[in-house]
Amino acid sequence: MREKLRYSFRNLGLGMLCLAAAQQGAFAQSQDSTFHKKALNDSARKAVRSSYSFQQPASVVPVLFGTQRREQLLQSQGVLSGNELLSFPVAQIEAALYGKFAGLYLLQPSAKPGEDAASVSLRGRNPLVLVDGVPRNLNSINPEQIASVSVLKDALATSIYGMRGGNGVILIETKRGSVAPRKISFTAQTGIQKQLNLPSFLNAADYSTLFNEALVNDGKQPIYTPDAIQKYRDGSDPVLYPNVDWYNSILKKKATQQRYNLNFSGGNEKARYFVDLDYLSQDGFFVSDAKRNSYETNNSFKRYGFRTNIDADLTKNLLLSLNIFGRIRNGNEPGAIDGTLLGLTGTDLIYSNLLRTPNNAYPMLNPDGSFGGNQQFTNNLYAQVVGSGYRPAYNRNLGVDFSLKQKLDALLDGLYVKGKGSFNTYYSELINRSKSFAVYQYTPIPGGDPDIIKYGTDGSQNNSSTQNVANRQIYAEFLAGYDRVFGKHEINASLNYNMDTFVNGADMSIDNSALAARFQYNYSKKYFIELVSSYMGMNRYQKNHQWGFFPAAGLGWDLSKEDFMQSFKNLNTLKLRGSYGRSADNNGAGYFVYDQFYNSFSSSSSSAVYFGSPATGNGSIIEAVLANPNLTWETADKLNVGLDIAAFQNRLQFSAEYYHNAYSGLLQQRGTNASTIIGNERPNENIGKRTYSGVELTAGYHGQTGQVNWFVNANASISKSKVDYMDEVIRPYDWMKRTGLPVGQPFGMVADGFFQNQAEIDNSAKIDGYKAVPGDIRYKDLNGDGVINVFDEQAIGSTKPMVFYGLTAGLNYKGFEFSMVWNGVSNRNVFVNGAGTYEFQSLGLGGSGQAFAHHLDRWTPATASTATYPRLTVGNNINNQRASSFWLKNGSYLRLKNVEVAYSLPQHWISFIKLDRARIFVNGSNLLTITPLERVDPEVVNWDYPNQRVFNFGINLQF
Amino acid sequence: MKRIKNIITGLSLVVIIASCSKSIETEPLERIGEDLVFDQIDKNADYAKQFLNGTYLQLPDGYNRVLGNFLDVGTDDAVSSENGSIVEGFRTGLVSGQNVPDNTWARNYTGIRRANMFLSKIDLVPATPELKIQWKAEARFLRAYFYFELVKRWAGVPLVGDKIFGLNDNVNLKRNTVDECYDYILSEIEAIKDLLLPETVTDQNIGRANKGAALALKSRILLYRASPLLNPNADPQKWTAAANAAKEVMELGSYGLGTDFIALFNAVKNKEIIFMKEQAQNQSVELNNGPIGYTLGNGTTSPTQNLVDAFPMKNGKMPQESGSGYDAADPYKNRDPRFGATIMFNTTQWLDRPVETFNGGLDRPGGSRTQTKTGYYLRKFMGKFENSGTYSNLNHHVILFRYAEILLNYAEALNEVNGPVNEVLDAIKAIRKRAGITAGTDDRYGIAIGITKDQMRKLIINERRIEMAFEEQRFWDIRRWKIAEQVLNNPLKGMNIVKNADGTFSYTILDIAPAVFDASKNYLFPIPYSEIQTNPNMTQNPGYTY
Repeated sequence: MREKLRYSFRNLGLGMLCLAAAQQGAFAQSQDSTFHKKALNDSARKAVRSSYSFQQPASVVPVLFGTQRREQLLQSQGVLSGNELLSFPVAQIEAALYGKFAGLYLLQPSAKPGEDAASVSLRGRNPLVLVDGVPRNLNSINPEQIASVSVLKDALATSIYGMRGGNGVILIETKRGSVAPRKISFTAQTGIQKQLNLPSFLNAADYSTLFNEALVNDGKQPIYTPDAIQKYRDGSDPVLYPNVDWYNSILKKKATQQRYNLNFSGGNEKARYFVDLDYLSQDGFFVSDAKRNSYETNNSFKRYGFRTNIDADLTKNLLLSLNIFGRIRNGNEPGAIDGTLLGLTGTDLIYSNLLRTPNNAYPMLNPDGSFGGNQQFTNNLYAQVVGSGYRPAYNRNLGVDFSLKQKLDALLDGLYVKGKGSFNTYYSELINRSKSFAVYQYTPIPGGDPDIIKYGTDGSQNNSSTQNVANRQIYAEFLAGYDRVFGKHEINASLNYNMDTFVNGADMSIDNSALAARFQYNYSKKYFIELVSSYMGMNRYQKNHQWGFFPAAGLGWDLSKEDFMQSFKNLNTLKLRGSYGRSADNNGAGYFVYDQFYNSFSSSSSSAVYFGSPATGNGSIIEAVLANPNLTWETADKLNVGLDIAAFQNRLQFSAEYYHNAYSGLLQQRGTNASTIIGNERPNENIGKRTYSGVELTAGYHGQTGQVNWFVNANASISKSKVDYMDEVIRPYDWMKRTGLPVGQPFGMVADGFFQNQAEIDNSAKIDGYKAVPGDIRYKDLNGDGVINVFDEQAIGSTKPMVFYGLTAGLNYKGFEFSMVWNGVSNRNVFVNGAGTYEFQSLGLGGSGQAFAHHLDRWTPATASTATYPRLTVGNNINNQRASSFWLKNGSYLRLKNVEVAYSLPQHWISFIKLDRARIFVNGSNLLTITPLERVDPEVVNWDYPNQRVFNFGINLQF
Repeated sequence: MKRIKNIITGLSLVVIIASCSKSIETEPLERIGEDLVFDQIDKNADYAKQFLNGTYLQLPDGYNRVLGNFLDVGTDDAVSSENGSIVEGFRTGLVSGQNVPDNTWARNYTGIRRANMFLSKIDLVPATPELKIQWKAEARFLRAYFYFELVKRWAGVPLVGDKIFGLNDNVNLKRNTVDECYDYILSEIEAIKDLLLPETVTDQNIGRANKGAALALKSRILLYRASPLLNPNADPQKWTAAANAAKEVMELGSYGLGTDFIALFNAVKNKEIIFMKEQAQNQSVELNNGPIGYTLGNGTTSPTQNLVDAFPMKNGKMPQESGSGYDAADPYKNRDPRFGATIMFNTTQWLDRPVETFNGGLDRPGGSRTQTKTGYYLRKFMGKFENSGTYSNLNHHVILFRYAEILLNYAEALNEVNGPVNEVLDAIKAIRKRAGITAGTDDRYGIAIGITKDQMRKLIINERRIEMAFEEQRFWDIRRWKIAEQVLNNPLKGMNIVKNADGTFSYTILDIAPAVFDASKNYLFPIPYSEIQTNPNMTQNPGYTY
């Protein structure tokens, strides 16, 4: 048996070297699997963070399908201990990654509880997320469960994940127990949230003055009399001339959040455990009205989570690991329905209406206590908050990971096999208990009963439930590995088969399966080579086109181990490394789109066809979007070169990398030969080519000055992208072309001030489809044809590579700790426009929405020289509101993302109550932002749900 | 050693069990493929029939179909009550390749593809030969109709014949000429008119394309081709052909004018309707266009004073004509009954109360809410809700051809050929009689004795305007007559109504919206810029820069 296996290894091409070395039976260091395990297991204990005193960096880091020793690493990766995430008072883990990794760019477009996850971009692409080696999402994993977060960036790191690794990988490992006495850690924390960048809404008098002005600008009659404006101003008649500060009427200044976490860990030689229980509650800002409702209407998010990770050595050589984890997430929000609007409901609708309801729209409450309103405004904002029922949302997921690892040293030293299975389910439902309400237009009659007109009805409460997502996933992996050291030669090899079946709703499953291999060799820990590959298939592609081969190779040389470098005593590592390889992305495969199919509509659908008398519905069938029989994955060819330096007993760490990722076959719509004469929609095709390249630097230093331990970790990324090919439509002028420019480059007109008078308009290029008036934005006529039109659009804003950076620093002195995280970005373009920026925007018909303080600086003949905003207009203005450099702003910012101050009570104070540790902490997020942007938050630009600052304090007890 | 073997076996089992969960379907069977749509063993051709239905879907939807507005708000008949509706670009000159408000280019080519697919595949299905002949003729009719929709907007467009393009086929086609397009459409009509269902159909086949529909399409096309836009040299033969085509429909003998002008638009079975796109019963016309002072009603369409002025008096005389009996202080009294059937004016009874479009009235309250800009709301197509409490669902089929148009086509064409002869008079009189205009002692329904050819032309133009108002006729008529540059170059008018203390009203006509029409380009639509951008062989219509 033993002989047989050896021969098969030779046959596999691992070479004589292996065999020869094995026969010698010489190995310097045992690659015992428990060695790997132990390193990771330490993470649970390290939750007990007593100080920033220097510890050697973890010697083993997670990679796909296993771990590697830090010294072996050739791939481009970054790793972070989960404990570094604990200082962030955030609900979604993404937000704790700001500023932590070179190459990882985060953007949080909304702060709505439960939906505030930041979008994640790794070297320009949206990475795959693995939790404990299984593709999953980041949804609501809490930081206490996380042992480490890694980002895997280059081909060497991710080609083993074949056509799923093309956009990079975020790998999260959860905490495990270690051989240690039982440890209980309990954390309670509570925070106060405050909204940032509130719009300055105009009062009713200023609003009506500006509205009149806008009407006159548009050639219409003003609708507010001077008398009315005066009444708005002096507030003498709040019923007929209301001036309601909506923001402060429906939103509270503060909202709370709370989190409790309890975890146990420990174990012995036979078995180890980590158990975590977590509760999070995050409230929204809406006011409540307990008199009206027996239920809560404010939006909120509550999360209950648990995780049990168990490792048991069934025999000396057989390790069983079992993870069971689950979460329940419950949300709530006001019912708020408005049948006429774009499908917005609840919180989103109210925040949207807040930007669209002027202070003078209607009184919040009439003198008789009824909701105010009128023919035009039938959706009283306050009523939407407290009188429209509520909408609970429930979702839950449950997962089980099970693995067995058998060491087979009896067969061959260093050989092991591992089997792993995982099952995950997710279910989400939305419950609608909203209701409609009536509003009343209340006109007091002197000396008589008021005149009251009712709009809408007080409807009964809805009671319906929608299951919006239900999915399940089965993952299985079988792996055989071989780790041996033969003198100066070291080999690590593994081969695995894995399959992932994901079923969403009633759709057929997405099946990914792969045969993947990794081979590492080093000589004397000086010269390294690593080969990885994946032969991977997916069932959503056409038969015979489902499988692809994705190889990558890496080389490394650690100069510090060379004899000629031994005089540099303080140098621990000086490693040059490079990798090149191919991976791909199959996310765009769609639902069997290679097959032409037809859509069928029932006789009662909106696509029914009616014939006969009486008109009778008939079903219809139409050709669905054209099939793409040539569909395949998007390919990524990645080059990565890096330099790692470690010095002064590893206290100093530095790493520099250059990458060049060439993507091809990106799925997009064709631009030429694309006429709609074809008579049907075209599918996406593998057309686009883009290059993402850049430089990433990370540096860190741990120091000690007297009794002060301190550290600084910094990183910076220069992230460049370029559209190499996109089958661009015919563009008659070079400045209109997108090819060659950064991905997502904004295009628009070049604004050139405001038209100051009619003569200037007459002497300027005519605007196609618009009649300019003084105060309108003037644009440059790029092609000089005397007409402003689509030919005058060019790339606007910065075309330079985006640069982003982060800094984490901390110190401790005895029991005191301080840490902070900064993150920043420059060369970022952001359009600041939409309902929070334009004047009088309203959903649906007409333009009668709110206006803001910055509209006071609009163009008028009197303010022509100082105006910062075009003349006002009611409704949409196709000239002023079109995409142009006027609305495109420099979105650079530098933010103090997080600060924590903590104090651990001295041991002698607490030991008598059997406490090992009591740590009191105060932390906060989004504490300070430096940005050239005015009015808006650099991330939540559109104020859909405003960004917030959180102050949080809590206590951690360990015993 | 044995133990190890057992363990390996056990581990393998775990993995094998996990990997055996493979589903049995390898491709989704819930979807309909081509073999099922054109099923070679289904004698009933259930799916194939539905595929033909899918082709019918591409017929125009009518009413508020253009971004929530009637196409007619691009003419002098109405303005949109909404601010900045881009449909009004047709009237304000703000139309360009990037801004084509009624862009049906893709919709019609989609219809053409569906027709071609049906034609190429239906022979696989074992339905009866008679049915297949009828269906194929229907598909060819629809295809011809879709081309007509394209040609009336853009003039010559690429003809694709029976071709069904594959993903990688060259679709960089050149435009054919107007004549090539119309010749193709007409040859198709000739080929299929007798293969279609006859013009008298059973109840269940109402709404399908039939011979009447084909001949009515031919009549309209020949009228368009004879009109000044496409007949600059006033070739009288073209007018003769147009008159003959209308006569061909009249001679079918199956059609006539309905008796009730209002009920016509809520009917499903009416001898006047030649072809329509049926719809489920609904109240969307009422909801979209009803006056705003009621619980429901968005009042989107504001008919203009220009259109109001086009309606004669009940005696058939125009208001400004002597003996008309028009009273400017009571301008809505004694008008052509079609006026009240088309337009809702101040004091019209509606939903249990009079409409109030005086300033500050319930239906014109002022302020920033969308409301009538002219003092009028649309009445046409709505049910008889004068004395109901609320709206209810009704037939609102989209009538694409009706007999009154054929009479107007005939009168117009014959007047060009022979002048105001009796047949011309008879056609107009029939329409006016049905409208409820009094015959008068001379039995001429207000038509002056001794009317000249030019006067008759004017009268027919006006009659067509009011009879067919909001049926998407005038938009094309002012183009083919080449009168858009006159009627769309003066501000449109509305009525300002003040309620006096004694309950009477004062009426003042005001300019309410500008109108600009550039005769050098606006007679045709600009080709959508997306077509120019993707097809190097596509040429833009004259006058448009891109």
